[in-house]
Amino acid sequence: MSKETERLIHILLCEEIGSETVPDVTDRVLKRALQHDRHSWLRGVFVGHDQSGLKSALRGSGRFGLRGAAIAAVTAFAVVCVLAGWWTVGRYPEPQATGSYKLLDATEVRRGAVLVTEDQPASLALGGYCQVRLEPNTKLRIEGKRDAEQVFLEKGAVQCDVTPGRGAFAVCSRAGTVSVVGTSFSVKLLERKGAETLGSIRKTAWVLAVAVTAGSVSVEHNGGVFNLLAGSQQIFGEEPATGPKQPVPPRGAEKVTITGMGKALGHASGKLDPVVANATVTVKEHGVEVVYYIHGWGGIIIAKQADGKKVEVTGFLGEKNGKKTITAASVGVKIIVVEEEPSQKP
Amino acid sequence: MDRDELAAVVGVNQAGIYRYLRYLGADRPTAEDLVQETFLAAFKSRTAEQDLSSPSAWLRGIARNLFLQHCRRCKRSPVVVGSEHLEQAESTWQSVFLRDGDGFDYLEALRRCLQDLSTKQRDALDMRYRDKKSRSEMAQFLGISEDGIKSLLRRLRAALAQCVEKRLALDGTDFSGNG
Repeated sequence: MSKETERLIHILLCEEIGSETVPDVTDRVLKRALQHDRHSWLRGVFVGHDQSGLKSALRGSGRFGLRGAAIAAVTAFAVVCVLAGWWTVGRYPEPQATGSYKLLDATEVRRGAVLVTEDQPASLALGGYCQVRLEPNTKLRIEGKRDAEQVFLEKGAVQCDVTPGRGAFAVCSRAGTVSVVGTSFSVKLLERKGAETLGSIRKTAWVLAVAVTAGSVSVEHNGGVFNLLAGSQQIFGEEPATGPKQPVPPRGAEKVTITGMGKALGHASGKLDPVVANATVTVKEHGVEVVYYIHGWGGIIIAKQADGKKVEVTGFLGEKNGKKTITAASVGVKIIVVEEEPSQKP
Repeated sequence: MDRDELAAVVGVNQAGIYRYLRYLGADRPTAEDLVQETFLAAFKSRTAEQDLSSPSAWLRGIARNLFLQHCRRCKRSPVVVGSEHLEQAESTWQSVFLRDGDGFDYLEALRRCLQDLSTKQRDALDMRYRDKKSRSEMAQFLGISEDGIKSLLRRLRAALAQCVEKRLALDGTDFSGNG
């Protein structure tokens, strides 16, 4: 007799004589099978790629009397997924503001609306990737479009956090534009009234103070583009807000600083031609006097400052109508009165 | 396989699978656990084309693999089994126990053979299987050595196997009590 046969007899004797009962595992198997079906269904729904599990679950559960419920649940879940996907992906976030603010020209926060803060700050969320904090006494207009959010800062200061890789963002102002892709920075628009007066014209100077916390920003100011890295801060511009645009220096023009005798070319009449210089600087070069015509905003100021004085002028070298010119650099024509020369006054 | 089908498959086959697992060498708790695992594995791996009219061979294959995995996990298992061992066991199971169907004939033949045993032989089997006495207890009670008990039980099982073979060979399924 083989060992297998002897073992067979042994097992059968355990049953026949030893009353070794065979356990009834039916209920336990059914219970665990049902649990497995539920898990398979969930796995199939949530993981998605386990289609066999889902199919088998549907097949099994269906005959367990759960098919209707399972199909309904799957359908409902699919609808929820589609709606959620549309809501989160397809639907672009509308501008949202929180905090203490007032709306001008609008009844709700939307593009074109102007937000004004008084003594409390406010926050503005744009596109789901830009967080703009409006400091107290700030006024801005929501501009831009999808994935290219933009605000126009009319007054005050904003602090911006832009999530990288989601879209572009820019803070525009009358003093320049600060644009970023992903960074943290603050922009402050300063207004300097009455710095200079000329006749009936009261000039207002606008200064753009930009501080970069993280990443980098690109500042477009007076036709020039400046990149600021994290940790840097810079002040841009000091031009009258009501005047014409600053002329753009010729591409590739050489930036020079010359020292010479300034002379005013005109007087304040309220009819200014900012491109044609209102001042000249006469420089002696190799024994020959060379006259440089100064272009750009501030010509009258320059004229007043330069008239009869020895000045130092920094700008872009150029030529117009056979005359040498110095065009305002991006930060404006820089004129330093070197010394008073009363004897040179006309 | 729906709930009713699964219940039917379990009800019809669980005794056979349990017996088969015990035959392979599984102890009672292990066999009980593996019976459940066998049906669950079958349930999970079922296909629409699965023929459930005679699932015993399919279920035995699942049970055999599960038992092999169990033995490999339990290195301290008293039963040393391998795939060859299990193949041989399966061969014997089919050729001896299932040769006339589902094993019912074999069981009936065994019951008849047990009735043919002498009182002394039957007492020895009762002590071992019914009363679950150890060999030493049996040896003390019967006044023979433990090896003698071991040989006695082996001879009794061999005799029963021969008896079953003879009965099955003689009249097949005719167990009217005249054999």
